[in-house]
Amino acid sequence: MPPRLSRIVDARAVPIALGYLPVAFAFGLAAVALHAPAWFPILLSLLLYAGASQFAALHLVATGSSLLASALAIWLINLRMALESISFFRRAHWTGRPRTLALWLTDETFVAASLGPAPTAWEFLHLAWLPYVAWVGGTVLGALSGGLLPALLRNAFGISIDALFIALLVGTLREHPRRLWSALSGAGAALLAQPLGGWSLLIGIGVGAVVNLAVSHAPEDAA
Amino acid sequence: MSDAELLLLVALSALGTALLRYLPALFASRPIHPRLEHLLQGVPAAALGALLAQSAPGSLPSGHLLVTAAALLGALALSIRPGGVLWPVAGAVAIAALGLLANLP
Repeated sequence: MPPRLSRIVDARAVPIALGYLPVAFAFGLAAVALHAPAWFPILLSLLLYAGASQFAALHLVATGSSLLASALAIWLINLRMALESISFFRRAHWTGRPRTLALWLTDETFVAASLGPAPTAWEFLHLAWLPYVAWVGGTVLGALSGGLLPALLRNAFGISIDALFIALLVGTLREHPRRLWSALSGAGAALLAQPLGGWSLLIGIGVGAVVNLAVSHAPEDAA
Repeated sequence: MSDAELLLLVALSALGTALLRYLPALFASRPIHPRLEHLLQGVPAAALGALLAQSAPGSLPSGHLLVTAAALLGALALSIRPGGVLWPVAGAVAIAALGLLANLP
């Protein structure tokens, strides 16, 4: 990445944003296809900014769930964010206003920011703004106009977030090889819990964290 | 749901999720038990594993398992030598685009 560009955006933000774009686009398209007003998916992306629960919201609205049940389901799906947030802020000792950047903490930005030294608020901002813009922008594009991005390109970008996860995982295992057990058990538990829908990710994270506790005999470095 | 209910749903879900994200930031600096510390240190790797297991099989349109596997292996191969995340991602997207263009299964 050119030095001038790296001053305003973290290199790790680019694949996250590229991965978000088609998903957000699909989310906007799906909302309009379900006859929701265009402002609904856009406002969800702007204010909620949590992919899995946004798709769940569409599903709940489409199946006629009550308002309270829908809100409760969304909170439960996003419960993992509290776990991610506490894990993140144990390392990043920010105080005051920068802590509001927690609102831009997603699964992907959390994982990217959790590797290596704890980021400053400014560094986290460099990482987090582009994915947010891509998420909201993709939703707007999907909600307002269908076929701007060729389908082949849209589909190919679908792999970018998983490729990023692999690159980040290899990076963290290089520093902390024992955490392979956390990753494997987290993956296995999430797969087994798949029928539980929104709970599966939370269960995967919980199991992986417990396994890390079990295999840790001595304190490790932060990360 | 009416427009007013949809708006209320957005407000409730956004507020609840914002609290889930923000409240832990206020209490994270308090001393905690070392066991809990180990538990929290495992969260990023566990989240990576869980996210990969959930999303990788459906990354590309169904029926393209070979392309998905090739793209993910490409990402893995490009991740092994240190040097950031852009090459593994760019490589995986290129492999996926070529595979989809060739209409491989």
